[in-house]
Amino acid sequence: MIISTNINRNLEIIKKELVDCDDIVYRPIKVGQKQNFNMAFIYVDGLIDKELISEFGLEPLLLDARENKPNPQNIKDNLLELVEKGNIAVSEVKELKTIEEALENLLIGETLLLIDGYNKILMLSSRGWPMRGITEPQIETVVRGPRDGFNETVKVNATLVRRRIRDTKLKAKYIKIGTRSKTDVVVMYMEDIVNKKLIDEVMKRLKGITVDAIIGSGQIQHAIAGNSYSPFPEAQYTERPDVVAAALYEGRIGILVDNTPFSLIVPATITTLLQSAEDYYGSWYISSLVRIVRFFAIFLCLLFPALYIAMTSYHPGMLPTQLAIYVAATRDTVPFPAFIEAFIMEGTIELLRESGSRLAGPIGTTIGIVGGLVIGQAAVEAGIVSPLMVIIVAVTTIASFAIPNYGLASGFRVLRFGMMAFAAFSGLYGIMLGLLLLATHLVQLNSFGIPYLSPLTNIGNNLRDLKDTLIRFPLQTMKKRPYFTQTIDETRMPGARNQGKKGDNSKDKKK
Amino acid sequence: MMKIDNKITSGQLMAIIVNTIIGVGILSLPRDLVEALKTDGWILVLISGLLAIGSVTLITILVMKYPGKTVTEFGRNLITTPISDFCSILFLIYLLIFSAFVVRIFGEIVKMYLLRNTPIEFIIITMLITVAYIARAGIEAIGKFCVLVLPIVVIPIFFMGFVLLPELDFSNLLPVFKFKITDLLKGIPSTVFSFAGFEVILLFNAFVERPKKTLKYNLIGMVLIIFVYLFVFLISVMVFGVIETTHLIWPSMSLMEVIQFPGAFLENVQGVVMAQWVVLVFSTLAPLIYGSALIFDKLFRGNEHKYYVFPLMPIIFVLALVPDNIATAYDYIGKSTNILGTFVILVLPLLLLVVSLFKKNNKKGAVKNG
Repeated sequence: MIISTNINRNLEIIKKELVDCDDIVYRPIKVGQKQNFNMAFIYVDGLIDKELISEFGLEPLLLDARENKPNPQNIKDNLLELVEKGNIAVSEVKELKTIEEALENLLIGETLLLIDGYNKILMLSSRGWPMRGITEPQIETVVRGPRDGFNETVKVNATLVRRRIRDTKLKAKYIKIGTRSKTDVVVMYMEDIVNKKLIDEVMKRLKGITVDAIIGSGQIQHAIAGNSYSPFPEAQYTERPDVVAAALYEGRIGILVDNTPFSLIVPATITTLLQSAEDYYGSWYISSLVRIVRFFAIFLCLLFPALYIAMTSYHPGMLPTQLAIYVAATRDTVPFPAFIEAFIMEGTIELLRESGSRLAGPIGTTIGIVGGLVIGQAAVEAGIVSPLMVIIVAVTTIASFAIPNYGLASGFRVLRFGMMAFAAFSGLYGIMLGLLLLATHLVQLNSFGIPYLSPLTNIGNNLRDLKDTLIRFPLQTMKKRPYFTQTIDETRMPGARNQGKKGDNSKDKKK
Repeated sequence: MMKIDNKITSGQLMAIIVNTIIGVGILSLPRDLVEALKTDGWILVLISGLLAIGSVTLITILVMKYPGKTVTEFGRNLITTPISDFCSILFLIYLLIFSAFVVRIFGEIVKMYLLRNTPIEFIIITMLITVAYIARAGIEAIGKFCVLVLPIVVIPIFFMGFVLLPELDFSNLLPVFKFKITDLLKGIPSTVFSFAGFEVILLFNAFVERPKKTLKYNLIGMVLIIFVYLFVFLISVMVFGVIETTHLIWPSMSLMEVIQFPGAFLENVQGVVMAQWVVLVFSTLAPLIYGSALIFDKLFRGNEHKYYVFPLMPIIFVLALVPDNIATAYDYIGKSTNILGTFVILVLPLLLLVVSLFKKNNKKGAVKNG
């Protein structure tokens, strides 16, 4: 809709458009020594920095314009320019040409200034709403490492990343997603590192999202996933700016979403999902140890109850004799087959986890202790489950928390029940079939065209990524960026390359 | 983007070859070798291995001439459609019999070591359904899968030797070089067929993305297999001795029963070995069944192998249950590989290669004349 030159008409149109929106404030004013120029401010109450607007928008127009003698010539003709360039002391001022544009800006938190006699509306940048400060990340805590985490404002989040990359090649593209919510999404990448095809694919998929509202980054994650039926996440979430920055240096892409502290990093592979920020802050021995522990945690989380079922119901002969006798003795009073027993306990634990996470902090812990200890103890004493089963369930649950990425952990958590069913079905053979089906699914899975299991699914250059998989080699040995992102600029340590050249030269001299 | 649609790398092809070859053949190999040449069986492995390498080189040279095409497709240009299609059908039958044999032996072993009371039909059906999933997924998935499981397949075999170190008796390998040349020649065919499986190159090279290094990788794969076979033979003979080895159906499996971890969690490692065994057979069956579906598809000049995977399953299932027992199963596969296998591994590639050389010369001649 085109803006008319009549201010009252414009106001009417806007008011009609925003009827019943009582949080919109209209502030008509008269400017000039004779108070003969009609103007109006419009803003959303609560979304703007009121002090800014009254001090640097209203005050100069109302007071300064009256006190200073106006330049007599052509005041009326140049009013817009005079106001825009001369009066308003706000850092960002923009001319808007349509009502739709004006409304969109109004709802973001900008202030509109309507001036009588002009078919343009001035937008004064005034965004300022209550927001959480930069606090320590809640989920990804580290012992040693930066303590700042993302908050719900995407501009702040982008700044936190920018602070870590002082390079002109860091690009931040703003796009709006959601036909109604118009959520700001910032796509960050290093222009001379990231693979062009990757960034094109990400932008294509982001622009292809057709949804009315984006509430959190999870929606975007699922909307841009290639296989929406997979239990595994195709993007990595994080609330740590240092993790995003490190990922950008590796040639990956950060997707920051407004209104949520959780940003996305793509592409994600199973190896990157098992990495934690801290791995790169500590020594490589301890990092490798925790990596191995995490891989083992996946194994436990997925298979431990299933193995129990298989061993007790199908292959007791595989256990050491003493253990087999012990298991048989403790299961003597248990009236259920191992499969039912395992399902009862796993079900109970899932119940506890769910109710624990619903309750407020301290009560949740209490429920955990009461539920875990009391029910476990009572169930064993009542002879419903064997003590070994309680241990297994506890270890399984702990293991699921050792996986750094919650999405990945939940995938395995769900599949655990499938594995238990396979084990009940035909023992170890069933488990192997289940694992083969899982492997078949995983080798087919791609995250933005990058194999989910890389670097484990090819023989060639990609093998250098193994240095950062199960064992994290010393950082000095990782002279190149990861292979899986197919970066343009592969060298991470240009200095190291020069050293190599020097070495070559000296050899030549010797010759 | 970097998603390689229906493409594999040379490295993945190598993994597919290794996984296809190391299947059920490895189980009875030490016995076959000992029966043929006693303690000198390793010579047979080396010679047969060299022959197999020769054949692989031959096949690779042939397929490299026709990048992006399977044998069913380029064969039509070389030896006319009816003859080529007939050859492809023979290839298909060979693959089906091979798969059926593998899945039958697999069923027998799982039944023997893992699920004693389960009917073998159940084991075969569940395995075939699981394989069908990856066979439908296509070459890309199979390539990645084979690389993924390559360490799981190969490393434990060498690890086994390390664990069995206390049981090894090196004097069992003596005497050396006391064999008759006639025995050696007689033993070669059956041993060469324990390397069978590499003929899938005829089909799968079509999907290799940058085929430059294919020959190199294929040869590395073959050398790796020779090492594995040699290793398994030496370990079996050193542990059991010549006479005992001849009496075992599957000497390689019996080795597992000897293994004892002092103070380990598991009483016997059979469980772990069986787990590895399931993976091994799965990675053998997947390329074979995918290959059969692919031939079927190309015979009908189609572009979607998926629809042919499930119809093949009942055929393989029935074929697998034809032999009454393990002995007849080995008998059948021996007979069929002697005829069909020789045809697929040697006759067909050689024929096509000769014809292709001929055609190329003709073309060159034509250009010169023109």
